[in-house]
Order: sequence, then C-alpha cells, then structure tokens
Amino acid sequence: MNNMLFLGNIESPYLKDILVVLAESGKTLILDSKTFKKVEPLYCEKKGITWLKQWDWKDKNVDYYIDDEIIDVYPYLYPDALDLRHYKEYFPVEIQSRKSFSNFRLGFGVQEELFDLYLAHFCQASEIIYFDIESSLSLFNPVNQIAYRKSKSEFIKFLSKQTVSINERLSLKIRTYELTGEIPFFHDFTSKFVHLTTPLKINFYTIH
Amino acid sequence: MIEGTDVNDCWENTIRYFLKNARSQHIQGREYMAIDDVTAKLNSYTCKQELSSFCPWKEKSRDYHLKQTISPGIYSELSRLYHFAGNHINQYNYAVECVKRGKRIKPVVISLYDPSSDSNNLAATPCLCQIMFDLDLDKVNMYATYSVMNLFRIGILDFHQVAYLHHKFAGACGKQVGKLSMSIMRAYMPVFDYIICNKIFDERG
Repeated sequence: MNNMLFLGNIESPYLKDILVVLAESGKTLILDSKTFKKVEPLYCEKKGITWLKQWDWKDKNVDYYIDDEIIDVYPYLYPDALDLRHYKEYFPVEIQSRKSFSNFRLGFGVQEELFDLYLAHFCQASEIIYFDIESSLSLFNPVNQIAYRKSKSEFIKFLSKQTVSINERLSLKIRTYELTGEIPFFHDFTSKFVHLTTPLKINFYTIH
Repeated sequence: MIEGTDVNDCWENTIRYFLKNARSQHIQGREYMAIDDVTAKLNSYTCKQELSSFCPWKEKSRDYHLKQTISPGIYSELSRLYHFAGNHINQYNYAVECVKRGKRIKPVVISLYDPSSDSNNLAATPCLCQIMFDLDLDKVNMYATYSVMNLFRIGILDFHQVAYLHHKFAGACGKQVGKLSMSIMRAYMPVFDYIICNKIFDERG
C-alpha cells in the first residue's frame, strides 16, 4: 500500500507548492475527481510523477468508483441512530447496541471524517493528507485529542514533524500522526474499516 | 417555497426538491451536495407522532430532539431559548408575554445566535439562528431561520422539533397554532448521505 489520500483546500494559492513536495515522495496520490481535474495540469508539469489517481461516485470511468459500496459503510457511520430493523432491505447488517449509544449523539462533521477513513480503506491508502483544513476537523484535530486523552480514549498518536523549505518566503510544516486506537463510539466502524495492526498515517500540511 | 400537508410530507417534498436541484460543491476538501435559500412552509399545526416512512432514523432520535425544546442540555443551541435576557425573565417566557399582549408591528424575536460565544473560532455556530413569532388574529405564526441544515440526517428531526416548539409556544400564549415557515440558508448533504437518500426516495417513490 503506497497510496496517499489527499483532502485539502483546492482554492489555496499554495496548492502547486504542495504538489512539488508530494511529487518527491514517489507515492501514488488519490484525489476526488474535482480536485483531480484542477491538479492534473499542474502535476503534469513536473517530471518524475508516475501516479495520480482519482475517485468518484458519479463517474464510473475513474480509478476508484464508489456507489453501492456506500451501503456497506453507512450503518457504521450512524450506529446509534439508524433504524436497522425497519431498513433491513437496505442495510442487511447487525450492529450490537452498546451502552454508550443509549443517548443519541451528533458530532458535527464526525461522519465526514469517518468517511475519509473509509475512503482510505477503499482506495487502499496507507496515509491521509489534510492540507490547510485542519481547523475544520473535529475527530482528527489534534487539539480535540486532549479531551479524549483525559478520558484515556485517545486514538491518534503523534509521530513526527518536519519543515520543508519551499522557497525563501515559504515553508511547509508537516505533522504526522498514527491512528492507533479504537475511535470512541465507533468501535464497529474501527474494527471493520481500520487496520490497527498497520496504522494509518494522518498528515497535516500547513504553509507558513 | 415548498409546502406540505403535514410535517413529514413537507420534509419529503423538500428532499425531493433538493434531489432535483442540488449542485456539487467542494468545501474544505470535501464534496457536498448543496442548495442555497430553501423555504419550507406548513399552513397549520400538522405535527405527526411518527417519523416519515422515508426516514431511516430511530424514533428515539425524534424523542431526543423534542425533549430538547423543554429541557435542553447545556451544549444544545436550544438552551439559549431559556437564557435570561434581563429583568429575570428568559427569552422564551419574554416572547410568550409579548405575544399575550397582542399584535404589534414588530414580530417577537428569539435569538439563538450568541455573538459573545459564537464569534469564537472554536465554537460551532448554531444551525438554528433565530425564531420569530407573530400574531395573526388568534393564531401564532412562527418563522425559524437556519444557517445550515443536513436535510437528510437532521432535517426531519429539525422539522419535527420546530413544529413541536410552535405547538408548545402557541399553547403557552393561549393561542392557536398558525403558519410555520422554515428558511434554510444552505441545505446540504455529504455525498454518502446523498447517495443513500437518493436510493431510498428513488425506490420508495
């Protein structure tokens, strides 16, 4: 698995600078098709780029097409809220209720981040790159891990940080974390779609 | 303007409108299906005891949402209904008193957006920003304004919640329930919600 799933602010003026750094890693970069269309011309200017892939849910002519697969993951995104008894024909799975699910929980944006994990699983990516969107994250925002740590249920672990100089004015700060534990309230999701034995790397890229 | 015969029908019609008109938007690294400026309207009290048959969520989600109108948790945006506005009276009771006094040229406003805390970068801006009440003869009309709503995931629960709040408020004022209007600045769905929603509405008619 030498794939990296890229999720980032595609309006950033530094997008091209990031691509230069990613190009040097030699790994395959997986983007959603809209980002792909924006990025591809920039990428092709650089030599040595061999792999650039895209995923989509509308267009079948992409490297990773997702459609009915959503049904497999959907009940795990909303384990406490989805009525599996009445929607058996759509979601033929059984998820055991847990005590922690006795109250309805809503974490704004949490499902989007879980879906990122599912995408990484689906595209066989070993790394996720979040570029310039860290503050919008809820689950994987390192700041929020402090609260999880207090209840001894942190699930991402700091691994390393490095600074790459882009030019005289700009530098790229990369902080890498590993997903090492069960995600609280989403145990079934974790056991089905996250391989804790080969931890997924979560990278935060920011321009300074 | 989308209308319905009851709160479930209104939600179903709003979803159908959404599925037909929503456009793909790339926001913060992710793709969403979204549509701006949607208004759904109910002409009388038509709150239902059950959730729509198109809604895949458990009934307890609805129960939880309705309970929030009476005893909201400290993190619930609806707790601001009961914030003290001054003179030892909370926003909700003050609005009841105002409506009881009779019709005024200005509708009564309950603000759920709190600039002192919501302008903080780390705080989540409430989805339900404000509620307005106005008297029409002996009926109370209610206008709820949402900044954003995931129509499939939370929409049906929000629709039931405001319809219930409307009923409760009119009762507290000793008036009848009038029209209910819900304005949504941005209705959206993440792609995984959109795919499932489309599948359910496509197969169930």
